[in-house]
Amino acid sequence: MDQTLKQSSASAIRLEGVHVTLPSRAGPVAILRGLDMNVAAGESIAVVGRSGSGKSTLLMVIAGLERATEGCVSVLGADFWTLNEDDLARLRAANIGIVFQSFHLVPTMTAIENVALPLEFLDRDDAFEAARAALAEVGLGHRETHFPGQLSGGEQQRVAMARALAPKPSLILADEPTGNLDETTGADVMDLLFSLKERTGATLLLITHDRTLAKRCDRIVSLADGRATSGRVTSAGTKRRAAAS
Amino acid sequence: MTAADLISPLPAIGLRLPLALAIALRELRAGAGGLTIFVLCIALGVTAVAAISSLGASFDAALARQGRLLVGGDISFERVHRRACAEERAALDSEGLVSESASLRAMARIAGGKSALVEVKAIDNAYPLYGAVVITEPKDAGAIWRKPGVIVVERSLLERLNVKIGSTLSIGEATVTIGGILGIQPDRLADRLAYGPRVLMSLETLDRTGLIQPGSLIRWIYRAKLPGLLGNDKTAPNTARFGIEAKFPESGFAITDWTDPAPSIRREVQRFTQFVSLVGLAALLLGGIGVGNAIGSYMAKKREVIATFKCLGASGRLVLAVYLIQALMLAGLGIVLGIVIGALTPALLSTIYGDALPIALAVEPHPASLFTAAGAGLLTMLLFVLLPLGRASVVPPAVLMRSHLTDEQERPPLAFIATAAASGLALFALAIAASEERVITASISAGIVAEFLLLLGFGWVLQLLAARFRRSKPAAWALALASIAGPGSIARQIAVSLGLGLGFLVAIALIDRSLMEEFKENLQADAPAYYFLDIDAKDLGAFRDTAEAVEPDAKLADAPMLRGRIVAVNGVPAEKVEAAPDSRWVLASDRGLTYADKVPEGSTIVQGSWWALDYNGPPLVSFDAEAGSGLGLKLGDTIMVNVLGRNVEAHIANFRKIDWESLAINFVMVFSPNTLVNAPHRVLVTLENPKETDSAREAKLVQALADRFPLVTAIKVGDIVEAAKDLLQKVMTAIRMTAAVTLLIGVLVLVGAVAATQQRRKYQAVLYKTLGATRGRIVRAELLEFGLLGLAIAAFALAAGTITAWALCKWAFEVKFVFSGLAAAETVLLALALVLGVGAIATWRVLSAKAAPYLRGE
Repeated sequence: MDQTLKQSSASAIRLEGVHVTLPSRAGPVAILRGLDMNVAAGESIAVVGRSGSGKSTLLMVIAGLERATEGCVSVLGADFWTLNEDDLARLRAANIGIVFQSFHLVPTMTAIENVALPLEFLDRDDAFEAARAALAEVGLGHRETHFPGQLSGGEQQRVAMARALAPKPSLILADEPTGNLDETTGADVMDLLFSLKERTGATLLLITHDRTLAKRCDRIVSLADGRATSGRVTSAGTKRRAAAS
Repeated sequence: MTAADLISPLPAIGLRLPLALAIALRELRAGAGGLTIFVLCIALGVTAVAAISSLGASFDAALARQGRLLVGGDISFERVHRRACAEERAALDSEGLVSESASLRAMARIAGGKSALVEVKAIDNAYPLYGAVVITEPKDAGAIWRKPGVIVVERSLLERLNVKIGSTLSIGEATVTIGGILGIQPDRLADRLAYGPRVLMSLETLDRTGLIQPGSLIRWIYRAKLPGLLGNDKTAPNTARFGIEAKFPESGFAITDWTDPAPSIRREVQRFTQFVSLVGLAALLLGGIGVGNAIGSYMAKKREVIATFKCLGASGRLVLAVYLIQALMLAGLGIVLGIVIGALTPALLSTIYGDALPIALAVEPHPASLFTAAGAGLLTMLLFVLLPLGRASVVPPAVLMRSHLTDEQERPPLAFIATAAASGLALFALAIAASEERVITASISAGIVAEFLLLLGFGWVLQLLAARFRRSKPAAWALALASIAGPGSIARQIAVSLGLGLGFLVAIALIDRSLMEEFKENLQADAPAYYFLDIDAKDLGAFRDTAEAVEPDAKLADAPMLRGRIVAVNGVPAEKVEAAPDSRWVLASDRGLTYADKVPEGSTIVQGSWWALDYNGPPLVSFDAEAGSGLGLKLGDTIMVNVLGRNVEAHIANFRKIDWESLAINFVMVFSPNTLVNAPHRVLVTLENPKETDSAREAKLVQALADRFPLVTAIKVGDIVEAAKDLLQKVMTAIRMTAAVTLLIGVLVLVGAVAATQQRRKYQAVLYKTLGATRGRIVRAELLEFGLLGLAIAAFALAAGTITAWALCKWAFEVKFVFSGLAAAETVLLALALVLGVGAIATWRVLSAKAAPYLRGE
């Protein structure tokens, strides 16, 4: 399988009839119920919905971290049903950058080591050089040797973003990236995320409660009861489409 | 209304125990959360201490309880060479019912020349005064040995000579018939170490053998059963003892009574138990580390719960009480488990090894041992639990508001540090108080603590080294080294948990190897092949001629030999002399004595000088330098020995360094010839064959000597060495088993330490998978981490064990140290197997972790 899938396919994410049902003591729980979604390459999508609507599960399915029980999942042209766990891991390393609400930096590694990790998994000889550059891009070149416990929340999130973007992924998934940050820091982080997205032309899927933030994306998709709406194009999306054409 | 009005008054009492107990139980209701290891560590550690202590107490109690059985009477009078004369016998008979017996070594021969060394016991009709002789075959034999010319023998003699019940043998000049197979004798423990199968016969049969000769090495034992109620009076034996000693001050009797039936065995068992107890203490301390890890991990998980309690109004004292109650309850469970298993150990050992044990152990619980073990367990628990509890009591409520990724740890208050230190000191003091050799115990205990600190330091060094190379390629190495170097590393836990047990095993293996090589080397060198006892001096020439006729190149050495007992040193009675533990054996029983006009071969004078060839002055003696030092002797001091019923006092003319390992003829005391030359005595001869002599030729030589000199006893040196090696192996096995318990506890501690990091490992593995690591890479990283740590600790244990073994071989055992590549390889493999085994289980669990629970947004 070609690990490096650049913007070769018109559809970055294609989900058809996706069901995710999880076992529990009280019986199976349906999280996603026949969800359909299509995201074009280079598009930015905000996924909104109430708590428990399945937003995080959706992100996990797209990232290949959770298997759909039923339905078709195709990301960057790769049909997930044909990929085993290692294939999915390699796909993520080369093509998908993920930013989490709780940052999820490796606590036993320094900032530069955290950022270099996915590049090391790709056996890149220039892993640390690229990591250094990514950290500089998010304004944390001077914090290379700090451990996560020695960084503020905003700094940790910027390191997480540098880590997500260092391999120059085609797809960025962000799950409430500002959820643990104050308003000002959150705004700074989102400005950085969008600017990096624009610079790389990556596809962005953003899970958020913040409507203002959601409006910065091209399209807003609502999740309710395990299903998605077709998505409302935002004014930012309209402008972008007009510019593209 | 003010804020003060809204705050309810706090109750006057500090701890609020019933509430603390209720909360503690509610928390435990949801499960002990990984505290199973806590309970098991305490249980195993207490088991080790309780089992060892109970076994020692069982043995002591058995000796005390079976005293009469072991002595064979209420009191026993023993001496070598001379039977009691009529006057002595009459005096003994006046004390009560007396049984006379004679013990000696002799040769049993069959037609065709095959012979075997046997341990003969000849008894009268009064024997046994207590207990019964068991004849296993035929079942209805009764006291068949009382028939003149009939003997009963241990089964091993039948196998050795290929004979059966009803066969005839020659012993001395008599032909005897095997009447049955000897089972247990009641006084077996008091007998000396047997080099051959035991044979029981009547005194009349012994008379027929012609083995009773002036100066021959026969031990005469007179056992008395004191009349009526005197038998139960603990002071009555002393009355009998003093009576005989007063009537016959130079009789030379060694006297033991039922209140202390085997004093030297009791002392040796006590010494051994004390040494093994120290290993048990190390095991308990190691268990304590496991306890500390478990409780530390448990309390770390409880930080938010504690913060919540405090937000809701709980005081630090209440929090402390809750978790202290939990710790005490679980420790109590572990301690009870430990003392139950420890208390059952003597019964278990009796059930499994009953027939092999020399006495029946007293299997009931021994409260003092169990209380000591329980006390040690409690102190260990307090030592390792107070610091984590102290931290817990000062957790600020603000923890709830802070990011989970910060790793701050509160400092325990000074009172907790001081109390933990006091518990440690109390444990130390308990170990010393429970020991007889306090200086040695204190030194070894300090050594054990130092060893733990050294291991901790080694773990820290490993972390530093890993940090240095954390950016290695490929990525699996980088992940492994980052895990070793970073916070939450298990480097120190692996070092401490396995280092001690592995180090012990290496040291024991190397000491064992060195001692065995020493045995082998000495046998291969110029050690004699045989000792021949009880040769009449006038037959010496003929003996030499017979030997040289069969084997012209055989080397023979001879020395006159008597036996005597040291009864006083510088006028101080032997039983009151303060001797170093390693030298007490010299005073404990009779010793071989000889006289010589020249310095014996295999000895070197280190102080003083030898007497002139024609010396005829007051008796002089040459003394073993090492034993003399242990008795605090110096040149000119007097030694009084009782020989053949006479007290002989001699001045120490010189001290000799003796090469005991050569197995050549050597004696602790060598007298000037004028002292003993006129005493009736026999000659000891050693035989050394040329190196190329095969066993058939050797047997032919021995047979020729046996045929010509039927009253001479031949002891094959190889058999003695094998018996010694066998005993050494049994002791080593017992020590190894104790070390293995330490290792077992170490594995448990390691499992606990790895379990405590499992959540972190799973989280890390999920992160790595999310970032693109394949399962293979994650497995490689995990196994590399454990493998590197296993190798490192194996190397440390090898080095520490080797240094310990070398030091002990050089200074304690005084043998050449021999390194064993096999022991080294076995250590490395064992360390790797243990660490990788635990690691493999941890890795399998880590790989199966699902991403969602760790990564979902809150």
